[in-house]
Order: sequence, then C-alpha cells, then structure tokens
Amino acid sequence: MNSPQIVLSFNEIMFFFTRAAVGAGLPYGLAEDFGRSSIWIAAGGLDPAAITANALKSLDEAQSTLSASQTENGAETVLRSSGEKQLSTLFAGPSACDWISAKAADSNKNQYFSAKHVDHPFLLAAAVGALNYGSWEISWQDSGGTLCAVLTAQHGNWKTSWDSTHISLMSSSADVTIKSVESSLFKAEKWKGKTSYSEKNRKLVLETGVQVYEAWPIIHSFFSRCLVPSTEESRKSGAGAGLVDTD
Amino acid sequence: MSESIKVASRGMRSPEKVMRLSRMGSSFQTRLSFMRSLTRRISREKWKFEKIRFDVDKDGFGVSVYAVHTPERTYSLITFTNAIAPEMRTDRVVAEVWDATFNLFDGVPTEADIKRLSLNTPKQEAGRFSPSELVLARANKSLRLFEHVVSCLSEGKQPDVEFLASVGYLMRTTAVYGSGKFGCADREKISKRPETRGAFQVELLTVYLFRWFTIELVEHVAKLRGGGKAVSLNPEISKYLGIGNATGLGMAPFLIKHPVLIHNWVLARETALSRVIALESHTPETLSLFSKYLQRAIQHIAEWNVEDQLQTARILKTREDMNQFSNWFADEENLKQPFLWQRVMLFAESNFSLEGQELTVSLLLEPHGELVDDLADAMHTSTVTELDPSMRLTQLNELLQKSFSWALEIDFTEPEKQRRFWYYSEEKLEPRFGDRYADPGAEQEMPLAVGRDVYLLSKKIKSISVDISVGEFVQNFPEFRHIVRRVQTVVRFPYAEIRDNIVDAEMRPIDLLRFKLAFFGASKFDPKSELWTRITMFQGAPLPDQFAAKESDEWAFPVIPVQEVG
Repeated sequence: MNSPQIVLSFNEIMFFFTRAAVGAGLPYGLAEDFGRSSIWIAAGGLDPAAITANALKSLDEAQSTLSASQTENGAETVLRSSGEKQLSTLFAGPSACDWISAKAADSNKNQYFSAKHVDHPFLLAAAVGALNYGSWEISWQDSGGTLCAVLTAQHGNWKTSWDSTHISLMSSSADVTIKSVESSLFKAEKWKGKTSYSEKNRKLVLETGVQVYEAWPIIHSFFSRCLVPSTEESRKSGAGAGLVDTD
Repeated sequence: MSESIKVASRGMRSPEKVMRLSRMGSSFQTRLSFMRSLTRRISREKWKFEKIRFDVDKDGFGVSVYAVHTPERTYSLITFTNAIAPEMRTDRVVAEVWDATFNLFDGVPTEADIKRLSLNTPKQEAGRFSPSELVLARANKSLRLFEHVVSCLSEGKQPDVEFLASVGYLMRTTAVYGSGKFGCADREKISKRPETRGAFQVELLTVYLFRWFTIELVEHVAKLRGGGKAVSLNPEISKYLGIGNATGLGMAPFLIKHPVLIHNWVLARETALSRVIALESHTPETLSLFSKYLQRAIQHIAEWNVEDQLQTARILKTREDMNQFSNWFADEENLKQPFLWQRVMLFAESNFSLEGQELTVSLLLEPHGELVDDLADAMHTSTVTELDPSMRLTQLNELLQKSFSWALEIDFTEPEKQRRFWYYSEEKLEPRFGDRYADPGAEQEMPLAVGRDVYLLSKKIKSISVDISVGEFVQNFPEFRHIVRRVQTVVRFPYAEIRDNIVDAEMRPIDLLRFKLAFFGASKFDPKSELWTRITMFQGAPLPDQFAAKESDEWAFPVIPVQEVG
C-alpha cells in the first residue's frame, strides 16, 4: 500500500471536511453533519477522504441534488429527490438522522425510513452511525444486486455485511432502507463473523492519527474554496501587521 | 442529555449583564483561571520537574527536554532554539522563523522522536505532528530584556527590575496550538485524564514549562559569557518573570464556536461570586487576606503601563476606582455590618468603571479558595450542539423571543450592523476580520454572526403560516440548520452566547481576546490595536523549585520585587 498523503487528527477531519462540504455547495449546518460522519468513518480506521470524495464531487458537478421531499406512508417514511437527479447522501443522511431523533420516543418500532435513489449509500450509514442513537440496520442493493447492510449500535460499534474493510464506492445510486433493530442483533448468528468496528478502533486511531491517501487533494481542493485569497490590503489589516520586535 | 443543566440562580449576575462585549473586554484573571488551577494542582499533587537534556551552546541555541512527572504520567517539553535574522522576527501567524519552537510530548521522547521533531517543529504550521505531541508552539525573545539580563548576570549583577518590569518576560509565545492542530493529539485523547481534563491545561503546562526553560536559558548564556563571575537570577526576580504572548484574531472564533464551554467558564465564575456575596459574616482571616490582595492589586495596577491610549485611560480610571475602594475599606463602619462582600460588590457596581467592577470580582474570590476552588473542576464540557427535529416551529420561535431578544432588537437591514465579517485567509489559514463592503471574500464568511443569523431565522419563521416541525423546517430550509441547532442547544446554557453583535461596524475583537485570556489567567493586557494584544502569563507564579512555599497559590496581582541595594 502507498504511504498516506497526510495523517490527520479528528479535529482536523472536522475542520477540513466540514469546510470541504461547504466548498462543494452544502449549507454549513449540513456540512457539520458531514464532518461528524467523516469522523465516524475515520474512527473505524478507514480513510474518510477515499469514502467521501465522490459524494462531494457528485454534488459539485450537479449530478446529485439537495432538493427532496419526504412523505409518510403507513409505517414507511420515504425521502426522494424532487427531480430526476439522484439524491445527495449529504442531504439524505441528516434527514434520516432527524427522522430517527424525532421517532426516538415512538413506541412503534415497525416504522422505517426509505431514501430513494441515493448517490452514496454507505454515507447514509455513516450519518446514522455518527448520530450514535440506538441500533439500526441500513441496507441497500449494490449495482451487482448484492444486498449490503451496515448495523450500527451504540458506543461506536458497527458491522458491515461484507467481509473486508473495503467500502464499496458505488457508481450507481440505490434505494436505502433504515430500520430499528434490537441491540441483541449485533451478536446474532446472521451478523456473526462479519467485519466489526468498535470503540477500540477509535482509541487506536486517537493514538495513531487518521491515515488519508490519494483522495486528500480532492478534499483539500474543496476546502480551499472557503479560503479568501490574501491581498496586500488584507495583510495590512490582519492582527499584528507590520510588527517587528521592539521590546 | 450528557451534561446537567445548570442555570443562573438567585444572586448571580445575569447573562444580560455579564455577556456583553464591553464587560467581557474588562475581564481580569481570577483564582478559577486555568493557570491558577494548574499551579494549584502542581502544588497539591507535588509534581516533580526534571531537566532531561540541555544541549544548548554559548549563544543559547540547541535542543532541550524538560519533563514534569505527575502522579500518573510524564509530559516533556522539547525545545529547539535557533538564530534568526532580526528582520524576520515577527509575532504574526504568517511568520516563518522563530527564536524558539517547542512541543509538549506525551511521555518521554526517544532520540528518534527528537530527530523527527527537529525536522518539523521549527517549521511550525508547515510541519506535521503525531498524537504523541499534545501541543505545538513557538516564541520570540524580548531582545532588549534578554540581552540586558544576560549582560547583568554575566557581570555578576542582578538585572534592573524597573527595566525588567517594563517588559515582564524573556520570551513571548506567538502561537500555542493544541487539540489536534497539525496532526497533534486530539483533545479526546487526554480529556479523561485528571491532570488534563480542565480547559487548556496542556497548553498552559507547555507555557509554564517554557517559562522555566527561558530562565534557565538566560542563566546558561550568562554563565558561559561571564564564567566564574556570573551569577544566577535572584529567585524573586525569576518568579516575577512571566511569559509574554501575542494574541490575535485566532482566539475570537473559538469563543463563538464553543458556546457550552464558555457557559461553563462563566457559570463557574458567577457561581463563585454568588457564593461569596451570600456570606453573611466574614472571618478575620478572609478580611486580612482581602485587604492584602487589595493593596497588592492597587500596586499591580499602578505598575501596569501601556502605550494604547484607550487602555491607558481605562487603567487610570481603575486606579481611581481602587483608591476609592481602599478608602471605603479603611472605614471600619463599613466592615462591621453583615454581608460585607455583597456590600463591596454593590459599592463597586455603583461607583466603578467596568474594569473596576471586574477587578472587584477577582478580588472577592481571592480570599475564598475553600469556598470556590471546587468550581474549577466544572469548567470543561463534552456537550455538542444537537438538533431537536421534533420541536414545533412555534416553540422554536418562543425560544428565540425568550433567549435571543438581544439579537432580535438589532436592525440588521442597516448596513453598519453587519459591516464586518470573519474569514480564513488562504495565507496560513490566518483568521481575519474584513469589511464586507470594501474587502473581497464576504461570500466565504465564517458562520459566526449568531445575532444576525438568529434575526434571519426569526424572519423566516414569521413568513411561514403553518406550525410545522423543526425537522420539516430545516429540510425545506437547510441554510438554517446550523443556527437552529445552536439555538436549541444554547437555550439551556444562559451564559453561552455573547449578547452583542460581533459583525457590527464598531465591534472590537480585542474584547473577545481579553475575555478569553483572563479566563486563562493572563495579566498586563497590552492592546496593540483593536485586533491583537500582548499579555503576560504566569508572572509571579512559583517556579518548579518554589512550590514548597506555603503561599505558592497566592500569586495573583504580581508586583515588582524589591531590589536589593549593593
């Protein structure tokens, strides 16, 4: 494997990735959610740039939209893009989290959330994982027809239905379903032996930093859009301008 | 809810009074300030200090490692000192070289660690660091004072204390980075350790260790210059030497971005004040201590001289306030009645400037350590802002009316009410404060204008005729998600918001800086413009070998030591 381009702290993940999302066109509040999702990914020992860069590009290149409508249909709440474009997961993720938060007190556990035509399904799981609110199964079918699922539990624990730590970056969109599950499912036969992430991963990453590889320039490029070019005038008006030590 | 809700109770000063920029910009250190709680812990837990390495040449250039052993862990200050051209010496973030660059290392560094850091630390923001490093910082010499002290000591004399007092430090830091900056350890790594749980403890420990280093450095250079003739600094003069600091706009956004933390800081101070003024009687000991601190504060303020005209006028008024206070206090009739401390505060509020009032707060807390010091343990937080999507819009509007009337009263359609904006410059990510109507970059404004955003949120809510949920609202208007989340969180924390317009044409960032620096424990504020200030840290604090002294916690309001004649 190549050497990482940079090793970041969680604080830097929040700083750069939140602003990268703003640079890609996300309002700041949604960008904060994206920053939190990126930390959740990083805490699993995964490269958040590799996993999120395409979602930012999809939004920036107008392949995905932030425009959506949400309807309730019996037990199902459906979020779908308002037009033909695929729905940006950067919008769908926070919407799903809001649905979870709002339903927290609801005793009816049969209700579920569907996000249609979502551009990067795994990021929806990342948003739910970062929320750290109960146990949820987030599932979708990949482009080859395989059912993918992520199981999130409290205390930073989560599992994937696939065996490797590779996160598939889908080239086509998918419908994603989110449903509440019993916390005991985490130890059930169905999920036994699956790739598992825990608080231990987070502690390890705190000791080593977050390794970020080839996609880092993409994140940094979006981030840079939030910076203001320096001019002679702005330099003069900055703190401490013109000061040479005289004391 | 991860943190208990603590609200302002009866007898406490209101957020409307306390969280105004003019008063925040008049703050003084208190015994709850972070430097004070750090030195109390050092003393209480008997931390051990050790000079592990000192490979420094006759000019003071080289590598050193100074360690502190706490009950459970060791932390090491690794310092690189270098020769730099005088014209390259600037306090600005955009500087590229410094007299000293250093890290606080988690543990004791190996040779490999020191070698790695020698390639990165001198480059500061251009270097990269690892979670082994808790802090990254740099400092420049006060050339005049450093040379004066070296010269005097090498000739067997003590430095001139008046001259020394005019500067107050041998070196001043120009940036102290922690909390994951440039790859350093995240706060999360150390936030549960008892010695680093409090706010800014590792950053201030770094500064404390660096202060020790600067004193040893100046003595080392003097010794090599003077040989057998050279002497060490008088311990009282060493103690009076602090560490300078030049602080600019970087600190200001921090205050806006961490509202719950700020609430906890202010709540602790205001709770402490309310405990003191609730005392019906006072003891001879507290009275005596108070009197001692009052006299010392009077001298401290008399020795506080700056070039800035506005601050000079404020210092002059504070001197008047303190003299008036001294007279009031000398009248025994005033001391005989109950609730002395409450009457002190009322007298200050009726007669003093804001600086005089805030100095009085500091003085009132000083003799009451047993009553208030426990509050220092609550001045941190893990609470983050959270959205409550189930709330109805009408409820959100009620919250705005109740807790943000200060913002809703501002007419943001007036251009001057939002003339300023905060942004990151592409040059080293330096935070800057622009003029919206003259400077480029307003579209990249940092989301710090809380008052204006609340105003816009209120306007938007009024335009919606149906009572939808907040979840539906932010889905339809995601541009408000950030401010809604903030409002819903901070209404539980009354001291969380600065109740002023921080993008107003007349806004002075220096007020924010002073507020934060006072909580750090800084003194001798020396504003150089409305955008930045110099301060002194740890002036008067015990050095590592001075903690055995009984009065090692009594270092508030440092005054010039008496110079021995001959």
